[in-house]
Amino acid sequence: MRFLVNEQPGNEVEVSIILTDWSCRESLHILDFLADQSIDRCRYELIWIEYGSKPSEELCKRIDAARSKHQALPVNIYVLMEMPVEICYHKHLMMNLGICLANGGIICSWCDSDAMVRPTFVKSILETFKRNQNIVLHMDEVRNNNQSFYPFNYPTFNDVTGFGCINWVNGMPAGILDMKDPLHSRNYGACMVALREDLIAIGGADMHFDYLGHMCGPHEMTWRLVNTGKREVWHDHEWLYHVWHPGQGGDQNFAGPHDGLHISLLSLQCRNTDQTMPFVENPAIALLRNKLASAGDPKLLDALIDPNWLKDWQYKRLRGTERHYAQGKRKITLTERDNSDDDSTTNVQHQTPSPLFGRKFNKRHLLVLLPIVPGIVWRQLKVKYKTHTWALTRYLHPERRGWLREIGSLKRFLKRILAFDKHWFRACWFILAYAVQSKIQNIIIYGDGDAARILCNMSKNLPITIRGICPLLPNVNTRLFGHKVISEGQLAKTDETIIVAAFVNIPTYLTKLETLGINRKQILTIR
Amino acid sequence: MPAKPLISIILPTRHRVNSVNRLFDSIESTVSKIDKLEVILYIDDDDFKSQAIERSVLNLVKLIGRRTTRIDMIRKCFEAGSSQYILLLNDDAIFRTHGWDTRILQTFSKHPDGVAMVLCNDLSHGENMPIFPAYSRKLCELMGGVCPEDYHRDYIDVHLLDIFRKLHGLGFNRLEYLQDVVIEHINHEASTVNDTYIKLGFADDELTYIAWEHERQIIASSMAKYIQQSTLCAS
Repeated sequence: MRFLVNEQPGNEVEVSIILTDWSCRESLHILDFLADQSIDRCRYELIWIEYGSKPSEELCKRIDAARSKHQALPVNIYVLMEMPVEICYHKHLMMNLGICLANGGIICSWCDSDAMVRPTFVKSILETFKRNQNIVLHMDEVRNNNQSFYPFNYPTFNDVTGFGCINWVNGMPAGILDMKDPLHSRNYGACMVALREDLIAIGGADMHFDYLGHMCGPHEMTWRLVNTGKREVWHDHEWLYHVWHPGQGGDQNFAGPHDGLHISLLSLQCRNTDQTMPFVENPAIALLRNKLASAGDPKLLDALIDPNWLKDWQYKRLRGTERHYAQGKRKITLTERDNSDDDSTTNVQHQTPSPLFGRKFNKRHLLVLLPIVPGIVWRQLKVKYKTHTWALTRYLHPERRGWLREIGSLKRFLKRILAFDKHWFRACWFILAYAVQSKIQNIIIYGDGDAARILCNMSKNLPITIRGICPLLPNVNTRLFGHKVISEGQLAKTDETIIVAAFVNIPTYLTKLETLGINRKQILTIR
Repeated sequence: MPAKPLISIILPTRHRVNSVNRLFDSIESTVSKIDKLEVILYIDDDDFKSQAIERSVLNLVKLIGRRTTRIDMIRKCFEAGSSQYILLLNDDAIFRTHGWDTRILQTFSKHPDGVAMVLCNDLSHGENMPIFPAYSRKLCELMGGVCPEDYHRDYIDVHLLDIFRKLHGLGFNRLEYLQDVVIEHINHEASTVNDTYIKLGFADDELTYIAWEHERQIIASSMAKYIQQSTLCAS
């Protein structure tokens, strides 16, 4: 083990954020977001743990740059575990090292090291634990699969929740709202926070062989902490943001037994029993728990790795079968461990995840939507054509505009716009499905564009009634999309749930509705 | 006490000190009331050469911040300004006409409600594209901001143009083109692509523009309503 940075901690450190890497991180942008927090930098520390022995070039550059400018270093501790390359990674080992090294009372023991966080991230952790210490805190992750953000190009948070986002509903990650299958719709691996003493009391992260490789995560500790009486809390307004990169979702990784939906079977076993201690406790954590060593004791680092693990975790000894899983449009491949003589494992049965909010968009729903799709695309095509006639290239590069080029450009545009429309159809479906899940029977649509048109058509096959539409443009008709037109005055008096039927400019409409005296809780937004 | 500026030039720049100096020279030699003008520069925090730009004659405001999208830079500059009118400019522009500021202000004075966009001749697109648009703070209020923050760098001009064409469709032509007032656009595509153009690149601005189509109609409609109300009040 080699420390490249090991700063003496100050007394003010309250939160320790553990970031892990196994030579897989392409971009270290999370350090920019963590450096730009709303609270004083001395109140939290960053511990970067690299599994292998090769230092990250980018992190070293950042450290050198900060040193040369006499600025605060990007991380407080940077340690290389120097595990040989032929050894498969075990994230729980890195997590346990983090627990040993942490100086803060609150440990953000698992934080997605390639996510984006808002400037209020650490403050939210501190405030939540100030209110109640008898908890284990999770933050969900907003995920965007739009490949235009790769290589990471610092999109705004607004970009991440926009086109390409797969789990953003009513201004929050869908998993937070989903009651049907939150176990799988929430991202337990994004961020987990607990008190250091609590993590030590439950023996830290489980070092069981089943957690080797991709199928692991902090949730196994969460569920054991819950078994000790802690409350599992999901933050209701602080999230992490993640954009697409190759290899996400554990593609091409080794994985232990799971439930077919990528949750470790062993962790589910902990959840379904009263188990509080790990199947295999890390020796260093055992020393801490039994008060045979304290933080900073060199004994801890010596005890951290059981020499037998170095033999058992060698790639050449891991037998597995390649299995493919769909992740949106893409497929990922996991090398899953074959059923062994260990009776705690079983072969994986592939499962289809439950649809969000328990409502699947089926062919019947598609049929009612089909009649409006050509109209929407035609209008978009007209906008494109109009803009095209004004476009810059027409003036600057007339030689580029051949008819073949135009056809190619049209094809590409249609592909883009259909993907774009599909994204918004999904968003409309999710908000209606969420309304149905929340047992809302009547809704009022605020808006008159394509979003309103889509919502009206989609609602036909759902147990939900549209009581009226309040248009945004002046409207002289009494009916719109087959529903009664109501005025803003009537809208202000309603007790029904209002869906803002707009894909953009939503904050403006929310403000407008609030000025009408409508409670925010009464409003649902597509985005 | 210094006079309150009437026009704010909003100017994001990066690694183009020579262009900015050339632009400032042209401003100083063509403006008629320099005390009624402020220039708000947005400079990236890693662009130390641009941060050193100084002009004693110009009322210069420098905002230094993290590299961000063009629209975010414009928004920050807009918030930092205090004038009644704004002029969105690039560092590859050169003022060619003496007294351009007076001409712009005279044109705005024809529309006391503030709903107007003034375009000067950029010698490439003319009135077909508002490359360097000037408009009022009142207009920004009606539009809900200087420009939607969903855009990154492209389509801002097309967005503005479309709103004014829609407003024209509603019976109010508020797009004022000054053909004899030249702000030359030394377009980057005519020269080599440099670091400035290796930006936080996004291909999604076109889709954003399309998604905003209906909103632009709503904005144009609210502008038309405001013009009607202002006319009624005035009469």
